[in-house]
Amino acid sequence: MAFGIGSGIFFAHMPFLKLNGIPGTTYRVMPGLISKRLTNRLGINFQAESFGNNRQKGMDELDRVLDRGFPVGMLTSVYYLPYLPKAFRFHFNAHNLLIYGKQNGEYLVSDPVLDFTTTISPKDLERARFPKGVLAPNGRMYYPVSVPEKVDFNPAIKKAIRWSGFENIMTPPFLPFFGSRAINYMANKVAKYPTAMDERKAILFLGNIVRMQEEIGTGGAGFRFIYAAFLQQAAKRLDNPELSLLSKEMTGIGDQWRDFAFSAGRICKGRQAGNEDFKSIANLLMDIGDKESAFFHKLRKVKM
Amino acid sequence: MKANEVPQDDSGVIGGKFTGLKYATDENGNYVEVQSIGWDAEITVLSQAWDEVNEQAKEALEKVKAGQWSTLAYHSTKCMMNEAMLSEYMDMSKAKVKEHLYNPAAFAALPAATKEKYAEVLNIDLNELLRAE
Repeated sequence: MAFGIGSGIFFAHMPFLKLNGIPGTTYRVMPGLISKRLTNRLGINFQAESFGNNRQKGMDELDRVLDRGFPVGMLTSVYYLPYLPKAFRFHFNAHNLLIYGKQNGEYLVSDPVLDFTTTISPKDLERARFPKGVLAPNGRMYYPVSVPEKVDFNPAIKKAIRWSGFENIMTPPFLPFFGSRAINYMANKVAKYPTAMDERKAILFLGNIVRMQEEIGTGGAGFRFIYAAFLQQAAKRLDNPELSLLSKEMTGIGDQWRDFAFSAGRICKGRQAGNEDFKSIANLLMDIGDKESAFFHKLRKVKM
Repeated sequence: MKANEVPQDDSGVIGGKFTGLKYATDENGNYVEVQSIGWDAEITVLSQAWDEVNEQAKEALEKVKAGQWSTLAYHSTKCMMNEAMLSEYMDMSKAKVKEHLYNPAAFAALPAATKEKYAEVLNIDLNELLRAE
């Protein structure tokens, strides 16, 4: 529900934004945007601040807000979170977690990646909040100052659905990197990987697309299933059968993403970067791109 | 994805005790949350990313042993810290960082405090930074 009302669903493939030399791919909107939209639409008074490179100020402010009794959400780099399994710890700077208190000099953490709560030392948390590199969070933290007594979900849901319909298809032609069309753009790129670069790189680039899609927190198929679940809830709430059909359609698209990941995983595992293999998975992507475009066109015009 | 088809592929990569949340549909088509211990496709691409890091570290180690690169180059590769990131953390120009990475003599001649700062940035101790094996 939060992902849906925050209009989180998106796609972007950005060869100009490279992480360790690999083109950036994302299946959601920019970090921070979901919570911003969610709280705006639900009328939650939300305070967000960042601290540049002033680590001390960032940590003091956290303590101050915790003392006032608020849980605090924040952006961190997964690389510096010691409680995560080593396999997940890359330099990824847009990981959200929640600090809900301080006990015996350690912070109490609720991390969406874990199904239990844990603790982190002030030193480790400070490192994690102030990493450098792409999307440096600068200690960004946020917390609800006040929540309205009665929240009216339905208008927020309608607004969010329309917005996602608009956002995913209305990107201008000179920006092929964003929105549903970017899937087709990426498909064309993928088809050319075997001729444009050596095998190792081709497989690395392809693997990264799948990694972003299936990483923990995406719910599978790059948030597509989460979005379909949201539409299902919205259909019930608004008693709208059209949304229910669209939820099923999105589930189908998610299944196609999973098929793509399966085939791409096989190419990566076998380390075969044949022209034909890449062409055939590029075709899968092309079809997904067309389906998503059609989906969001319908979503934009759905009667609510 | 059907709830009973959510992959449960075991692997040593994630450590076994770890599960990820997936969204899937039950027999009535209703969305439910299912914990998954892993999926082959997902595990393949994750291990592949680590293989790449290890491969690069191995290449760096050879360069260090051949006297071409400094031990800093090996450790920063291992920590996936590129030149741009190092230069930001160290508050130093990229050119300077490059010199320290790819000119062992220049790195060796650095004052102890600078080496200490590099170690701090890479989250290792100084003795470790000065060795590569």
